[in-house]
Amino acid sequence: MSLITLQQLHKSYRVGKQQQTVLTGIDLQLHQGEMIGLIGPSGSGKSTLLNICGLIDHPDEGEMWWQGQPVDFSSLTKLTELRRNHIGFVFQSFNLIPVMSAADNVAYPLWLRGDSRAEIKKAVQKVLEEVEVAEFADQLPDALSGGQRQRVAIARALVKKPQLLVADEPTASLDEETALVVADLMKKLGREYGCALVIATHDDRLKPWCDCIYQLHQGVLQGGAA
Amino acid sequence: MKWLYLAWKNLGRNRRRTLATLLLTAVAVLGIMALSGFALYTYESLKEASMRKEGQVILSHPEYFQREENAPMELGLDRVQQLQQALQADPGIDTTLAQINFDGLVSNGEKSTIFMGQGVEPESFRRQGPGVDLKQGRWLTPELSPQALPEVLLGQRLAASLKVQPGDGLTLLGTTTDGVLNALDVSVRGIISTGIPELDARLLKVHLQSAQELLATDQVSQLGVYLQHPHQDESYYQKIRDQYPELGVTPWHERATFYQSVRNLYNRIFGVMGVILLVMVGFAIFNTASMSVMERTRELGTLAALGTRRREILGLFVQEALLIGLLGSLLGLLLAGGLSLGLYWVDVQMPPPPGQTEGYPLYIYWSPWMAGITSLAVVLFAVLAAGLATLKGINKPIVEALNHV
Repeated sequence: MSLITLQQLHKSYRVGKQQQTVLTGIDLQLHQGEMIGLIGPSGSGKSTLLNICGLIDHPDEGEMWWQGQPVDFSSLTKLTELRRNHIGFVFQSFNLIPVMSAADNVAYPLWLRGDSRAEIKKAVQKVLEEVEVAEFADQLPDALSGGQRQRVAIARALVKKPQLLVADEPTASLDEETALVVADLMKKLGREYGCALVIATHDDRLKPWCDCIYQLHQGVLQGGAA
Repeated sequence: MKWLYLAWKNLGRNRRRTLATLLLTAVAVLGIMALSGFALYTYESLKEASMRKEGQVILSHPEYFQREENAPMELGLDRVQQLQQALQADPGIDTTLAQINFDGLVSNGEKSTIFMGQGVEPESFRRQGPGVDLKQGRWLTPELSPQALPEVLLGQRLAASLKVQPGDGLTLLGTTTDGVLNALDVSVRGIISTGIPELDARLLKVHLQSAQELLATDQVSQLGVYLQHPHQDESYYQKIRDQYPELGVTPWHERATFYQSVRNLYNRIFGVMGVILLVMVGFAIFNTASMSVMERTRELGTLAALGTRRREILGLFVQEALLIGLLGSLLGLLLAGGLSLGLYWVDVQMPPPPGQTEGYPLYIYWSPWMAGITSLAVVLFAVLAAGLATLKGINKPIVEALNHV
């Protein structure tokens, strides 16, 4: 069974007085442990598709299934619970909480889930070591470099062992060397934690890391080749 | 606890703004505490003065306070000594003091003027406290010798009008209970002031027996009951009323019209001012929370994307306001406590109230009850304001919030 299935998704936005179509008839299946890349120019709709996959946006038409169950986009509570327990996010500009230390940022999803203090401490220490920023655990995000912040963001996304990791331009704010290290890390840990990965990027360097690449062009999904 | 911890951390994001809101809250709490403290001090002072003047419970003829007498002592109280003995047998009653209220003419031989007289027991001067001030001479002697000339205390302006000093002689003219004119030669013992010029122009106090001699009666107008514990006034009022159903029994506050008027006036004035201060706190916290929500819109999107429930985000902002409300209240209460203590050390005199000649010291009571109510109101306003300010932010779609610049 696929983790998520999208069927005939349509999405459009109102820009001024005009309705602008962003996604047209999207069909997509993502399986457990699979890593797919969505590429395309700015405005092609890859972030919108990513947001729908991450359940933070909703389609105008079409269906989405999560582990075989239809997703009810009208129930904000159910969407929140799915994100809380099963989906991790990595953002282009890291989006760490500035008043929390690196360790607290990583601990946040576990706090939300209500894990015990001991469990949180152990899990946070482990994942920070895996992303190689354990020595910066007590630092605030402002004191970290871009690469370190993105590693903390990846740790935050993975610490709850999500079934789906959604990454929107995760390497866009990083230099070439760091970008490759971060991409490698995401793939390695994604495999280790057994989660599926959807990455929206226009960074060609990430192609080799993906099991499957989809091209979005004028709202239409093309490709699917490795 | 984690939310409170996060809320505490968030207060440090914009320290200057947090401090400004905190100080405004503290100043508002100080204002409310100072206003209410002044009002409470005034109420207590007036209450005490009223109780000292006539007692906690006043016994009289049932109609004495209801209508004017057609003849002197028409509505007098009989068998007063028996009544006093019976009442004083109660261990909760400290003493009882009888009083005759009468009027007549006072003459120095050249000039006559009307007076408003009170026949009192000398013990009343010890009870009355600072309500009446002895300006010249001495208080009435505790035990008036039958051979001695009756003594009077005159209001300051009455003494000035008659051009008399302590030791001078006067004649009192009054009507007896039979309607016959009677005269009594008296000696001026002292000159007093109540602080109310109109009253000082008419007031005259004599021993109770002197007033009874002038009016040719053994009755009194009223009998004041002074309790061991003044706060038991309500229970003793009920008890005495049940014990003497044939008499008029009046609680002190029904006779304290000035106290009631001041209380009604102050409650309205200071109540409105208190609400204005609370609304100011509400607006300040609404503004702070609105700014904070606007600045952190992207972060709200991130929190929501990570699976934070809307009520949890709302709760976070509300807890930030709660902390500001609590800390501001605490600071305000401490400042109010400092002000209250400071006024015991530094003598600040208030000008005389309208219609009076004497000022009074400014004190501010620090009431734990008022502190609790004020803090609760401030916290409620803060929470409500923060809740309203945050609602718009948390209802924004997550994608829109994440793309907020």
